[in-house]
Amino acid sequence: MRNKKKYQALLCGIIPGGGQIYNKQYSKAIFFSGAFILELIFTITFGANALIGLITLGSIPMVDNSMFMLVRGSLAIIVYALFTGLYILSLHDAYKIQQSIENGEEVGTNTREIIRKIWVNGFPYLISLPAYLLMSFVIIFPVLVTLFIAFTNYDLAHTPPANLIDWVGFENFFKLFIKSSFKSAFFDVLKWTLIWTFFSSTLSVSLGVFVAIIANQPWIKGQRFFRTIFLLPWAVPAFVTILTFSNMFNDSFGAINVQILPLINRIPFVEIAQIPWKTSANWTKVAMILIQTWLGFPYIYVMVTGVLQSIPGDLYEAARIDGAGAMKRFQKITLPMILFSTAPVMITQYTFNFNNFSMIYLFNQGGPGVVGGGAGSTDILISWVYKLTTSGKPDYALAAAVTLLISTGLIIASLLGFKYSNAFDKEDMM
Amino acid sequence: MNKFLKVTATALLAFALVACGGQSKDVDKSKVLKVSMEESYMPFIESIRGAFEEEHGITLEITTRPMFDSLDGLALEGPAGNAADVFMLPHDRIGPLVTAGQLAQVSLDDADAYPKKAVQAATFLGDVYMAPQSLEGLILYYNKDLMPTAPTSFLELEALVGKPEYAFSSEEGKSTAFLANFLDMYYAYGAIAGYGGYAFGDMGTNPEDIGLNNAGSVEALTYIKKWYDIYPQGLKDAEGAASIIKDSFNSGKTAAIIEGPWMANDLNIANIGYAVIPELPNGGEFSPFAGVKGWGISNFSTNKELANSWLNYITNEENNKTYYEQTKEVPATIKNVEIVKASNDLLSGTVAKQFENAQPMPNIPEMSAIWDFKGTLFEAASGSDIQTAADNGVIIIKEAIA
Repeated sequence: MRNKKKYQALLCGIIPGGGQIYNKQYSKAIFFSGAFILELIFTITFGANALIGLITLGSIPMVDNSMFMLVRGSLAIIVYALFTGLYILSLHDAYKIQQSIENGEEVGTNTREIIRKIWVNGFPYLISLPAYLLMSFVIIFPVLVTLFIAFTNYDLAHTPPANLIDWVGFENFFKLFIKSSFKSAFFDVLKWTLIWTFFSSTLSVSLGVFVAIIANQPWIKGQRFFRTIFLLPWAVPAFVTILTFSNMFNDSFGAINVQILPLINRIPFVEIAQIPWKTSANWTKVAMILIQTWLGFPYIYVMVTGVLQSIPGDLYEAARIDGAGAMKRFQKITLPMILFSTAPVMITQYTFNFNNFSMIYLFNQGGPGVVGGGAGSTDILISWVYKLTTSGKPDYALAAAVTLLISTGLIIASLLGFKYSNAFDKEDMM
Repeated sequence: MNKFLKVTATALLAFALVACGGQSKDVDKSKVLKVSMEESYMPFIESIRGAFEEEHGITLEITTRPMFDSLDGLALEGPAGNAADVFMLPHDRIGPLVTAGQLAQVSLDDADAYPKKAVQAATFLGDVYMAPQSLEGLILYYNKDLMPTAPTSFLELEALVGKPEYAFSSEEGKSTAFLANFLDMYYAYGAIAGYGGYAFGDMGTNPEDIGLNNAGSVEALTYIKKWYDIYPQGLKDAEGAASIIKDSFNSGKTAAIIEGPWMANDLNIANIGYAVIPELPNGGEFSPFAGVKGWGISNFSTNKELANSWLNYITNEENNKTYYEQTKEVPATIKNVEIVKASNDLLSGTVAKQFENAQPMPNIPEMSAIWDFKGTLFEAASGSDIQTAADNGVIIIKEAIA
């Protein structure tokens, strides 16, 4: 008998507000049933049409605007999700309050009591509520629209309002994984994106750590001076830097080939031929990795310097007394401390470079030469997406599909990365 | 309870104010024509708007906005009712805009007043969508101090290679005597067409027929490669090449270049000459892409008839002449073209003369895939087998179109 009674409020709660009435909390009941009535009004005025429109995406060109329907449908889905969340909250609340009553706790029945209880118990939720609401409309909404676009055939030939967009299911993904020209382009671009991400991030992080350690040695004079100098690559806007480098690396007229290499060649027995920086795909890749290393290390350097300064000096003293050499001290003291403190930031360096559009596009427009499917030989996934959406014959649906793949991959990688680096937590750090 | 009520009441009031604040007054839409165009054309529009406004009893609402911004914005602003009624556009945008349903048909009062090629450029699938205003295309700029007479054949330009004053010091055997950015399809097309290749068949209207890998095209690509063997390596960077060419010309290391009229202001040498691009070695004419700029009507406009009258008004002979006088762009009416050719304005005169050899860029939406041929141009210039590179290029284009 007792068990059945436990779920009474919950069962009443199937009708919005019912659970609260059962618990005699009438103002909450009014709130939840009021929300439900709002939901009904929403459905009648906007929601039902929006959902139907989302499914059909219109049938008469020029009269039905497929894109507007898709967008309205997505908006409706978000609003319904919010209402559903509220409904689940009402069920949860009904259940919990009934439990509290059974346990003999004080639950208010007049409005003032209830509001005070919410304010006290639910304060963190109330505070984050505006942010979450904003987030659902500003972040989740566009992402949802992009998600839907990836399953349509939205491109130049299917541009509303003169044309209709249709649902094509997984066709865009088939194009990427099965249809030959896009498939080879996709895998080529993916391969290079992974190589690029790995090398540019690892090098810039390593350089940053290396420079921080050297510059932090007590026997270096003028540390302030070095600190400023090393910060410069980060201080100048990357946009400008990359464009300038792009000019400098020109095969025949850029400073590197015209001035720097001949200078190096003056050293006896050193003979470096003119390097085709921008006309050879491989040399372009090398140049970009070098430039990104240069651009990325100051941030890591500054961060690691901070960490180094917080390592107590007596740790090193003790290690030196115990006979540990410099390498050993670095390996066992410095490096773990650095990684422990900055692991999340290091991970973000990788995700940043995975989507480092400006570097790839500004340096050589993802060229030289093409690999098909609209991608250049040094394009990464994101710059390919850019080309797909801005060419004269854009294929938005394909771009959306690639975007989804990028996002899924990055989210999984980041989650894994954060999880793995948090495992350091469990170790005894100090 | 009181505090609760106060807070709720204030919140509701705030929402009400926000919601009701956005009402706009209803304007009699038929009395206003919304015009969008670039800032630099304002003086021109100001000088001719009065007569039109009087004649039709309306007011022009002019917004200055970069041309491409207003074209790109049509997709969203049009359905929302915020787009301009009339705007300028380059003719190669007609195909994409009509396919997307954003451009309305235009009826020209006097189609014969414009050169046939201009009307052809403004026509898509048999209907006219633009009123031509100006013409443009590539021409040959040459340094009169280094080259007293304009060359009439590419063979004359080839003869300059090897002369020590044009040798490129850092790389052996390279010369900068004549430079052109042939890795950009826009510049290379003139050579391809001159040797018998073509972009799309049936005068640029048939996307099924691509002539970029036929025998003529391959010959043209071989010839282009010949030039790239002479050019410094750095010219192969198509994006940076334009400024390299300009700098080389301005510093007197290059006798002649192929560029468009938009470059004219940046080329400052003492004695500059303009000429029609010389004949190719096979005797064929270098037929570059011609560009026609004109006025179009938004398909979302509620004043299409008025817009049409405006188009015919602003591109009529008299106003077209004013347009030329104020902007120095080559006018697109036959009589004015003749006037320009006979005038002292050598730059515009040359562009006008070149227009006779030029082919209007196809305006079909598939045209944008043609620019991807630059991959082939790069391969050819870098020494790959030209027929293969051309075939691959065409495959890429076909797949982009499909």
